[in-house]
Amino acid sequence: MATASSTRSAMLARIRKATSRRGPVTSELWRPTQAPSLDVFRDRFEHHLAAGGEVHGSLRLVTSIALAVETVIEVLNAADVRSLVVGPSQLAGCIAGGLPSEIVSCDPRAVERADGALLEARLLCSETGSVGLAASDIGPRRAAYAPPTLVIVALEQALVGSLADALVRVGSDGEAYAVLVAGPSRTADVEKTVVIPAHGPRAVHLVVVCQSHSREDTAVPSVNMNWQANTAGTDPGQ
Amino acid sequence: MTELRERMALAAGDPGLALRLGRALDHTIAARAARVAEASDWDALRDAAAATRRYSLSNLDHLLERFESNASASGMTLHYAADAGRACGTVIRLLGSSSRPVIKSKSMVTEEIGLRTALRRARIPVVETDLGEYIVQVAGEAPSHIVAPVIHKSAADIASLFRSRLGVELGDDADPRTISLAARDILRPRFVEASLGICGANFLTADEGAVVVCTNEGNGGWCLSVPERLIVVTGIEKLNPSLRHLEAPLLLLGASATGQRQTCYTHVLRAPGGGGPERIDIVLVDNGRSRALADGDLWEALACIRCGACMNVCPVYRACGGQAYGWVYPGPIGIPLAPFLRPGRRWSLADACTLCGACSDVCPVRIDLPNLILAVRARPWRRLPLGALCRAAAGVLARPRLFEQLGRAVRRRARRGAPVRYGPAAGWSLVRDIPAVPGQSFSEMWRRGAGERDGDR
Repeated sequence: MATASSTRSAMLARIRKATSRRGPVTSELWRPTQAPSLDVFRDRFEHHLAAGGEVHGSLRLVTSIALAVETVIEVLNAADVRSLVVGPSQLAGCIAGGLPSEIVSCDPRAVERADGALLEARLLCSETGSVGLAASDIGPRRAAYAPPTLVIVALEQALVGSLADALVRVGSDGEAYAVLVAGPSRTADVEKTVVIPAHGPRAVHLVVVCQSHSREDTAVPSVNMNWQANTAGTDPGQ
Repeated sequence: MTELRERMALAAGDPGLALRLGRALDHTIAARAARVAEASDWDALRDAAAATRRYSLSNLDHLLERFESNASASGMTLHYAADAGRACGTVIRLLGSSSRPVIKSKSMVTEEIGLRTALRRARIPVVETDLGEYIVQVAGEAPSHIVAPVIHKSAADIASLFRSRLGVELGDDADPRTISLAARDILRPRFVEASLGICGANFLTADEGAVVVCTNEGNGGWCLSVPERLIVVTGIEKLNPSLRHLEAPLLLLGASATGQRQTCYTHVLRAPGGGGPERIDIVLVDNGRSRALADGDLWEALACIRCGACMNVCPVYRACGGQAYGWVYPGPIGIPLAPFLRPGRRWSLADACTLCGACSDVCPVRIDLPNLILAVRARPWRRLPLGALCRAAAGVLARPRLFEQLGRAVRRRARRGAPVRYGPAAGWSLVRDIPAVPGQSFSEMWRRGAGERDGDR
């Protein structure tokens, strides 16, 4: 009977033989760098909230933590959230501190029964309009999927431009898990008709704390549109 | 007629299927077109994705070793399965003998290896959590599309299924929303109480030792959160160099599969703990992929990122649906994969193609499907003694008298009944009008007329 290591060696040997006859192939990746844009992010994030003529969530830009707290209270009331689990990050805790204490659920085992979750996102991606959540900011991971109302708070500094930037950020933060979220859960398995929600949250509300609340782009130094050429990864031999 | 042709003829004769399929597929095609139109660099994205996937396949051994090293260092346990049977055996062994509930998110490779059947035989209760796969499980059928498993079913079909198999009454005019929300209610308690999970992987990255899963429904999120133990089942060809290299494939996958700018959730799993499963096992499945990799003509079929765009535009798929192909990977991409991933079967999917080329136009990683399919078609013929056959034909053609005698004999036989309707040319002649057999050959006619012509002078 084949042992685990002999299966592995046999498989690797077959693959090595298969690829040895082929010359080296470089992977030229080139895409213009994209500057982060709050406007583009807003458009694309809001696009993810819409389906079937309804909007399943919201995006609010505020200029201070205090205003963020007010906004979150508004959102929670409108969504009739009576019990809220709060993620373990600093920003989430800060905002939760300003919420009525009867809403905030302290029982980490009650995640499945909670009406809502308040989590911080340390990554926003303007190209895809998605929000990045890291394991250490979610806490018990089902907090991002079980409660029907997901409220996400973020600082404007979390914004990056392209999906590649977002992926690099995810790859370098050493987290056990991260997820890029593009709106509330949905399915189109029945007759290709989009239905929100599917098995996850039915609404995603995002509150972004900006330094200056205006429609113009705020964080754009010189826009670098150079084409970047990269060979893929390190040399195969390393 | 072969089994394949029988199934396809049956499916093509069902007008309801064509209507439902066409409507659903056109929807996805239009959504994809919208994404293509708004992208400023669609072709550049395809080039980048095509290059990344080919690089990955050409350096698969190095990437696999790097992935193994990084994923293990992060605390994940890797297993290698040479074929479908061993892969199922490994999963069953990892699940253990208790009957704790198992939730499963979508994975085409688990369909390929027949995992659901194997688990049923081992009496391990597993529930599919992707809505389409759940419906397929309830129906006891095979999925008909790699992205939308029940694209061939109407809402009424599904409502009727819920009534007959689950005892859930949704009304005769149940719409997609009612059905989907009913499934949410049905599956929620299964998510909450799950202690074991099985999922697939859309991509693996070597540099981070990461498993990347793209979903929309949130069922993937549950599977990656709740169970104490998670088993990831994946083909070895899913490897890529790093997360950064997934930019183009991810942008193309969303657009090509469902016409979205991004799938709702892009999960990146790197280690156990951190609020999720305490133990993660990764089963790396070969099942013929290393043999495919060695094939000089067909290896690039492994670049596939499973978007389903090719089958959406394939005229054969649109006419017959996915189940008629009789295999987990229908449509164009299934044809070059079949000889390796399912070699034991004697059937020729390569005939199920008009060579129209619509598939390669939409393939995000630029797989040259029509030429791959031609190569698969040519394979059985290479076993014939073509050299000897050509020499024999040349011998006949070089002897005009022999050629004429042969021609007369064939015409005599043909006038008695059409031989071409039987034998190897049967399929070809079934859909073509055979011209009337002439009474004489051109040479005979010319010779007879020669006397008259000479007389005219």
